[in-house]
Amino acid sequence: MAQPGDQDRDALIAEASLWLARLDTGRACQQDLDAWREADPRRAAAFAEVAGAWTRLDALRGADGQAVPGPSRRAWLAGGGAALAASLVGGAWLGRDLLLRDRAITGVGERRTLALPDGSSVELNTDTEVFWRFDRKRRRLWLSRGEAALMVAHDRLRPFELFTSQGLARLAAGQFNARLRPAGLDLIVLAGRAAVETASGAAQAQVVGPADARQALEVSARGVAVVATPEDQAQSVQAWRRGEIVFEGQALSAAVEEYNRYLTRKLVIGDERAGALRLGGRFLTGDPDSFLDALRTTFGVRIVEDGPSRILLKSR
Amino acid sequence: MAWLRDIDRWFAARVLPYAGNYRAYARKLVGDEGDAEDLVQEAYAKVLGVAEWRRLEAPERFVLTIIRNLAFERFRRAKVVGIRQIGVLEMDALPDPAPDAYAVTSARQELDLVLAALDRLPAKCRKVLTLRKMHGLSPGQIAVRLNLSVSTVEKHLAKGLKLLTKALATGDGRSIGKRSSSWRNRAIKTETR
Repeated sequence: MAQPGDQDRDALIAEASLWLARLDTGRACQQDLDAWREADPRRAAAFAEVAGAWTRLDALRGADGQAVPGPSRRAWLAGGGAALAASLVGGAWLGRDLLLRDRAITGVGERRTLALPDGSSVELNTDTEVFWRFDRKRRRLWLSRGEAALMVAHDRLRPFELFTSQGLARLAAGQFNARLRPAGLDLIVLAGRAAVETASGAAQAQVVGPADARQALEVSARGVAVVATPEDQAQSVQAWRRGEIVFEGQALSAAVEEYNRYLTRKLVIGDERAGALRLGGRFLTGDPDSFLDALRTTFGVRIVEDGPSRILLKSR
Repeated sequence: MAWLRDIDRWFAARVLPYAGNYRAYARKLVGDEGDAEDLVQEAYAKVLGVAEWRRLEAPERFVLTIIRNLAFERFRRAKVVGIRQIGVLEMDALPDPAPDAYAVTSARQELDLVLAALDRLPAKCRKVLTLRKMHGLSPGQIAVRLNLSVSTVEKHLAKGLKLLTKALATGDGRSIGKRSSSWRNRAIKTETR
């Protein structure tokens, strides 16, 4: 099989795979990719093909969900041989520690509130996964994807720690909203105190009295920023807990990206003119049709049904 | 996944599911495995350069047409052309492409296919990809869990992805569906005319 064509293709696929991996780990950015991709159309093709394989791997996500039915540890263990075998595809690497954690997930468009053993509670937004383990010494909660609102109960002896891929947050009793983004973490302190530690830096914020401004800890690769957040903005961040989504002058492209978090049938921007429209308003996350109706009547956006997605175009 | 453009999504959903057909057709035209692969890659690059891609009604037939034109181009440049190849090229009709196995299989079969491909990867690649895509861990979490640096995780991701892309592509070529056998017959008929 050492054909010259094959070799070219191998090299291209290898290169494209490396780009995708770099983007996934956050070690390359969109501009880097664009520069590489636009230099040779064969690169664009190889990247699209690798991205296709990457997307097909999403089928695995379902496998895990089926294998692990409930959030309780008993269900985890009672899942039996088949389930365990499915999650042990990689061999015996699945540590004991992971087996001792409780777990809860929500699918796309779902929302769910859980009571934690210490009297705290956590509410999961769409497509979210958390694990937790509370013992005599500490209370640990892992947010492995998505967004969660936390109501942390007071317990002087056991600190509450929130673990994410972007860093660790120590939370005192209070109310918080944590959202994991592809390249960062947004932790909003609505009440109480939080201290964040990441590879790029550390910071803390506190909101003590009701008159204090809410604080946002924004974790990114560059560091941690503390931003005072006006009340109405903090409210729109929390709108998801009421099943709502609030737009305040965002470009339609950004709004659609946000809305798509809740949709299995995604919206796609069909042309730049549509993407550049700016919109405001309050919509229901569970009712995309009303959102699309508003776009149709207010902005003259055309919606083209296209199998698994809907394409938004600006009509003249 | 902001790095996926609309055209990439469209390419994955509308063009790639017929990959087996393109390879089979290109092999018919040029005979040689490596040259055929080359033609398919060139055709992919061309279709990704089409500004009006949204208006293509049957992108899979468009790709086959590109492959045929590219093959013609090659034959014009080549000094010696096999008779068999000319016979096939004279065919006016393109094959009726049928979606590859994965596009029509159930979610369960697709899962089996992906798991089987995953299973053939080197152990480390498999671990990393399983944690990333089955358990939804971030690369950073995987690095901590496996006690690796993020750049090592990245290398395993890249290597695993490369091998999977190739494995899934060959897997697709495995079954071309019933409709394609009719064009194979036609092709043979043309050859012997």
